[in-house]
Amino acid sequence: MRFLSLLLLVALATGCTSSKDGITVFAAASLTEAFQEVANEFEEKHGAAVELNFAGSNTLRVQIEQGASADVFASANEEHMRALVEEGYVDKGIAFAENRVVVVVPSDNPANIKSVEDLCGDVKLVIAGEAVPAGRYAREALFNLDAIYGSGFAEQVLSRVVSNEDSVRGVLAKVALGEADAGMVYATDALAAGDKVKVIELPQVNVSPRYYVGVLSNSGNKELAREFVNFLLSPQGREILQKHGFEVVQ
Amino acid sequence: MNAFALIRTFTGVAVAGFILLPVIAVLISVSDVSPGMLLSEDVMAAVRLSLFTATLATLLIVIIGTPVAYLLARSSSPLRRFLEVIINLPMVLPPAVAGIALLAAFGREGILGRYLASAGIILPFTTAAVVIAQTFVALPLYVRSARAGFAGVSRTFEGASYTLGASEFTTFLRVSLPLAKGAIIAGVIMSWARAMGEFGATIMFAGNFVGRTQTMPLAVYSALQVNMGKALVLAALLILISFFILFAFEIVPKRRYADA
Repeated sequence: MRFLSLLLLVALATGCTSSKDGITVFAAASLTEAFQEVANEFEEKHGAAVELNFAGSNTLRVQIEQGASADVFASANEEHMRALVEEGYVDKGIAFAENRVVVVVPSDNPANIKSVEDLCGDVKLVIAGEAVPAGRYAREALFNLDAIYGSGFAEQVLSRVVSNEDSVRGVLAKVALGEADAGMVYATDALAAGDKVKVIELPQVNVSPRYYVGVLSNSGNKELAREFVNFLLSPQGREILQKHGFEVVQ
Repeated sequence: MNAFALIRTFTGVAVAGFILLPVIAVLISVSDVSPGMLLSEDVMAAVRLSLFTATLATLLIVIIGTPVAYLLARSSSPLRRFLEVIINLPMVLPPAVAGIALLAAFGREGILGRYLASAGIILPFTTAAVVIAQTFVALPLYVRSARAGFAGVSRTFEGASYTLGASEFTTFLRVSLPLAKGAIIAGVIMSWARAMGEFGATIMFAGNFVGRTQTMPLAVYSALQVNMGKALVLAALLILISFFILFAFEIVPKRRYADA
């Protein structure tokens, strides 16, 4: 038994080392293209390596809680950031960008969806899971639409859901492939998919997805991690975010 | 003890520890989880769906795999090797690749799927898609095992059956099949286990929906993003099921071989 615990210790010890000349950034899946560009620019400027890990913010949060070594965390909602700050994993969360929820359909629009109201019909709808920020925003947006389309609208649309994907990019892929009739993603995802999808805007701006970034308390390279966050908040970082369709938070 | 024996013993212990440690870790961690979690709606839905789909997939595999296995064991055609490579392919394909391939073939926009779709059959996001994904990845395990079983049946037994006037089909049913029984059962168990564990192809081809396409491995993955306790319960259940399958695998074939 002592031998086994020793093995475990060795495994844990080697798993926790983080490199000195670089940082690891855990970022929400919807930030993929924007953060790749931010990281490239940052690497050029600072001569330091940035490793990126994209997934649903909730997945990243669990990974951090389970001891994954990261230096920066960028969440697609406040909840996961706040939880990590309260648990002591992240020093402080700073809002840096906003997004919009939209409906996307494949470019050939097989179910002939013209408005959000058409989602009530016989469609195969794909959204992100309830724990994924994009999934939560999508549900919230639908329930807010009850005010326009009558109560029960959201329930009826949600009954059309055929898959709860583990990240917003999973939703986008199923729509871009033409397997789903419609999906609910961020406006920035729709932009990233180009002409593979068509966008249907929600009739009113009713949810404002907000992104938060923070440095991890046990980061092995806090200075560089802070510089990354500062770069993200700098005019240059904001410009990249805007280029990818995000609204920047002043 | 000489040095070689020492190394052997050490590696044996180390390897066993390497495999046992994560397994035991799950079982230890799960003891903190409230038992109510076990009975939660979506855990039970995942268990039911997994048992149903894996069993159905295995049934399909036996039906389509047995003639193929027999063909592979008996054919001397040069095409045999080619067929063998094709049938083994899903075993070495990364599951995500299998998922993409299934979408490309049977998806709504897939090369066959688009014709199915125009006939009103849309496979992705259905329980049928789960069964197809499981059949695709688990088929080789059964065919390999059954093929080895048929290859081990001496042709003199089959020859004797023919001289006694039995038809080829009767001979297959009454002579070859019973003699290959051990290998066939082993193949059934292995392919069922593989079907139970299928993850990558399922999540890509069938999606993730409680009660319809969320099998136990998908449920573990989904739960991990929200609730570690639920993920642990499901993981522990899968470990127990796998353990009993392998245990059955260890005893069943030997007994069958003994009376063959």
